[in-house]
Amino acid sequence: MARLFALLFALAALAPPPLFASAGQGRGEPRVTAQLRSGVVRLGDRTALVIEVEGTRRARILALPEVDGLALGPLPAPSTGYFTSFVNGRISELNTVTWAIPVRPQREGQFDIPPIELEIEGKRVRTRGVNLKVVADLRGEELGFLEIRASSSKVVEGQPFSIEVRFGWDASLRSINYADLSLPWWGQMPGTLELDSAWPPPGAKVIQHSVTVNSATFVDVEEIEAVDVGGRPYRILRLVRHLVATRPGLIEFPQGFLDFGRIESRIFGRREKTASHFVRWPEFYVEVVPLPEEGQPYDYTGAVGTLDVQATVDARDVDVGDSIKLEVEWTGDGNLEFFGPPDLARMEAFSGFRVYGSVEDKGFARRTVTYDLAPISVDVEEIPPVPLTVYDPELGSYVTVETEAIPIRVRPLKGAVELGSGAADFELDVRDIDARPVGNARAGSALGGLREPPPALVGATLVGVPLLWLGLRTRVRRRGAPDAPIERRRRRARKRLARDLARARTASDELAALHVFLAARSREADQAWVGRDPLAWLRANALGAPDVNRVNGRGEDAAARLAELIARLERSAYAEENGPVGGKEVLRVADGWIGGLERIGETTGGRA
Amino acid sequence: MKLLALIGLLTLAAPAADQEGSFGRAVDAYRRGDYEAAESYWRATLEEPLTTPLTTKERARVLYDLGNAAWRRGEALEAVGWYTACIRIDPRNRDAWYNLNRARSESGLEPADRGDLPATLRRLVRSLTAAESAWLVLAATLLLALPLVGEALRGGRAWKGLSLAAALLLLVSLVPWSRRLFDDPGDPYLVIAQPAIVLRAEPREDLPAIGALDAGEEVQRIDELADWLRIERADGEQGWVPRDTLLALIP
Repeated sequence: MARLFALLFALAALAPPPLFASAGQGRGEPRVTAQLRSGVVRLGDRTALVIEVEGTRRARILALPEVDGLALGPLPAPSTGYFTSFVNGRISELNTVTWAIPVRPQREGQFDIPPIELEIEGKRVRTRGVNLKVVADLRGEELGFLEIRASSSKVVEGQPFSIEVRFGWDASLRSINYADLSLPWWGQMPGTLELDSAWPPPGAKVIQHSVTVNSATFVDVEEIEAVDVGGRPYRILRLVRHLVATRPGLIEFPQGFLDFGRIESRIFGRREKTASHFVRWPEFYVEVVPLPEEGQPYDYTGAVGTLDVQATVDARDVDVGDSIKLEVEWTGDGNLEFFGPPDLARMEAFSGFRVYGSVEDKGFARRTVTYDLAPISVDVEEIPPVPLTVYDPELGSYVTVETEAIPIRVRPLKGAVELGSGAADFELDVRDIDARPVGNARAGSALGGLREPPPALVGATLVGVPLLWLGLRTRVRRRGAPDAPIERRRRRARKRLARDLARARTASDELAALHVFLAARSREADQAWVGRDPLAWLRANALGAPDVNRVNGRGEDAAARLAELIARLERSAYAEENGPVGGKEVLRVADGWIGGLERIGETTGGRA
Repeated sequence: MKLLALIGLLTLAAPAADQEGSFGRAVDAYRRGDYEAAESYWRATLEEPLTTPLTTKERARVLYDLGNAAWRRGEALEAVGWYTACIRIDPRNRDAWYNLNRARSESGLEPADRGDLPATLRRLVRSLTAAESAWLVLAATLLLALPLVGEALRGGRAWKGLSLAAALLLLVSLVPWSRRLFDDPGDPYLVIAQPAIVLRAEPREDLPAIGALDAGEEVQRIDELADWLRIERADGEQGWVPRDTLLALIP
């Protein structure tokens, strides 16, 4: 038994870990490594610090250290990995988290990158420190050429300036087929605006699609005359950017690099640098000073530079009020796109004109404003000069550039009164008095105006009309809603009877029409009056209790005539010929019936 | 008897002749350029005891003419007051509106009608005289009576719809009438002196100013003395000002 236990124990000790641990190496402590892709790089070249954490997915870098002479970062998003392996019958899993942090040397030297702190599964962990050696590309400095200069090291706020990049290499290097300029300030220089200058200049020898900036943007460069450097000719390319300083201070242009060499294509479309050289240009500065306030006119609109101006018009012989297009064009070295143009409507010199508006065309090389003017008087003889106050950095003072006056002729309109000296000016005046005599008019006449009704009358009408309506409405609705179908049928009974009688061809038709009429008038069904005695019905259905005295007179007469008519119609209907009695007679009797009912008051309807 | 009747007729006729005579003399004086005389005659036309009272329209015309007299005398602000008084009783007098805006412009005041929606609605509501607005209400009420009778006798949606439309019309017509009925015109005055009139707590020049009235401002008279008027402004502020700096808008 003891041997058996010992054997089992030995087997357990020799068994692979998965027997004692669940699948997945994550149950162990995570492991972190930090290493540079290259321990030695040339100045201008880049490398990366790769930090990998194995055994977990929950890891993050807390902060990147700062190293003088190296630019670390930005911190990229990590990549994660998941690996499984099947070894000796056991499955093992591995999670990894990896960062590749860019490292860019800024100078030669030996650099210690300190440990980087991470948080792994809630715990703080530090990597080991690494060393990086940066060497100058002596070969690149020898073979290449880079020069970045500003047109001026000191400019005024708002003054444009240019940055010229001249670069190249030994002209004997015919295998060079790529060049990349590393210019951190390109397209994102704080404190400046980039001007939309025409590049390359017309007539330049342009190289296209071969030079990149910051490894991202292809730019067109101008090839200029070869330069002799150290007795050897260098092929020189040129690139110029125009900027305008927007605020006072010091603008720092960081150091730039030229990376040039040869790229060859390999199998499967892969491209490989077979030769690579770097040339560095150090950082430089441009100082921006504020515009001086001393001597700045009130109407200064921000123009800076050395400008010229000229003006033209589209017409010089016009009528009063006719439109004249005055085109003013400024050119020269200045912030042509940014200053405010002169407002002619506010100028005393242009008081003889009405300024309707202006249209502008801005560009790097010129600024054109077209004003729409109209002379308002024949006394206008010229279009006055258009002034613009400009701060000239070369002179260090504010100057005024203005156009030449343009003589014009203004003719009066046909039939118009000549205005100006010697002619009468029109004025506004009040209208004349009303001299019609008074004391003759009566109130209520056209001259006297309406006589006001007493307010009591108005009030009584306002109150009385609704009250009368309410009373009438209540009375009418005691007999039922007047818009109910049975009431509408009753009101239209006479009209319907006339229509039916017009169509009737026989006594039967007339009798049927009469029955429908009587039923509608008594608010009953159509057949209710078949075989009914009108007089008996009348006596039974008069308002109040049946009262012989109430039905005497016209009502009884009407009932008697109706009964007689019904009897005649029945006799005719049942006779062989069934000839009609006559619609007019039927209508006459029907009208008598309606009148007789109204005389004694309406019945309550429907009671037998 | 006949003699008595004749004397009665002459008595009745005389004031009318005087009234007419004052007006006629005013017109003559105006035409001669004697604007001060014209003003005094026109004032007399308004103030004389009348056996045949001036109608509303006639009073408006006299006020209008007084405005012209003030204008010709160079008193643009006083002319504003007279024209304003005219328009209060003859709101559709186009000549008065024109002259009022001219006088206000000359006095440096804003136009009487700014032309925006509230001003236009206000002018519309006030464009009817008291008599016209009352007759409008009467007519609208009688117009309402017709569909109401139809609705009472016949019922139905058509009559109800017509009644509703007529009721709405009546409501609209009530606006100018009720404004005149319930809006107490009070005793309005217009400030006709520039640039501003000092308001004092009591009718004494030696007292400090407690406020200032702007030229063209309308105020209500509360009390008066020979040379002073006690007024109340729109915001409720009260005080005394010299009488000659104000013009009564209801003469």
